Amino acid sequence: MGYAETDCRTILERIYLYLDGEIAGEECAVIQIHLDECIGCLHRYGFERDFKELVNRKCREGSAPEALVARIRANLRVALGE
Amino acid sequence: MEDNTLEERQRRFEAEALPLLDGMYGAALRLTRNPADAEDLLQETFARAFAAYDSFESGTNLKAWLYRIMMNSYISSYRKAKRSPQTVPTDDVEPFSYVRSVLDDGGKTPETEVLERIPDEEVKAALEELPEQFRMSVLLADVEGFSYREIADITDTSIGTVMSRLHRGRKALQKALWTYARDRGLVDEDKPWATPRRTAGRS
Repeated sequence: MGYAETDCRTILERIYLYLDGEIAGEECAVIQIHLDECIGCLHRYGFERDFKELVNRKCREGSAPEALVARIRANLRVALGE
Repeated sequence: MEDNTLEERQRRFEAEALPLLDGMYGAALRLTRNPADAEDLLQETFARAFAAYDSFESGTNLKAWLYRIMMNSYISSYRKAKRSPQTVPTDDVEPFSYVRSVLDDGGKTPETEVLERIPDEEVKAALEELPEQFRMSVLLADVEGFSYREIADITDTSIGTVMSRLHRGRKALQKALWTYARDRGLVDEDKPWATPRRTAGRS
């Protein structure tokens, strides 16, 4: 409400920077204030935030295989022996 | 004396670098797209890293340094062997979320609830299908948590390029997952992000 389209566009262009922790201080505050008041941008932000978290969680792997760790350790000892 | 120095170096390397192997294993899998190649890549990475460990400045970013070696190893050893990575028509990538969404819930967005139903393996597969530069950027930012500056250093490019690849990579991944969800009936074609069983709400 009350926001010119260009304001939202400016905010959305910065949304990844904001989300990725790449901006700070006053610029951050400007975005926060906008998100508090603009439901459209808040929704877009919410989706991007959730998506980033989802990719992080769903694309994680467990530990490296023990055999691999052992091989790499052995390789180091070989390198050392030379 | 020489031996002591070498042993010292090995001990330090094992203590500092090897703990990062677990995190790197996932990244290597996403890069090479199969476990055997991922293991080869990591062996090569750690061999190269140990050989160059003298040149690593203690106190600087070891994790980013190792990832950079892994990316370089991947590019020089593995990528050449594969068919050249397919390119998705990225101009075609539509930023669907804010175009189509109208809901104003405070919690998780309805889009995310749809995506939550997609199995982890499918999300990993979709990430692996992204063109290489997009894949690397999304992997490094969203899975590994590197800053734009670090990603620029690791992939040998500018921060502006990182931002562009990250943007396009995320949009391409969103589109791929949306397509997956649509094809399996998780979303309604006409209202892509309305869940099939809608609760009777405000009308």
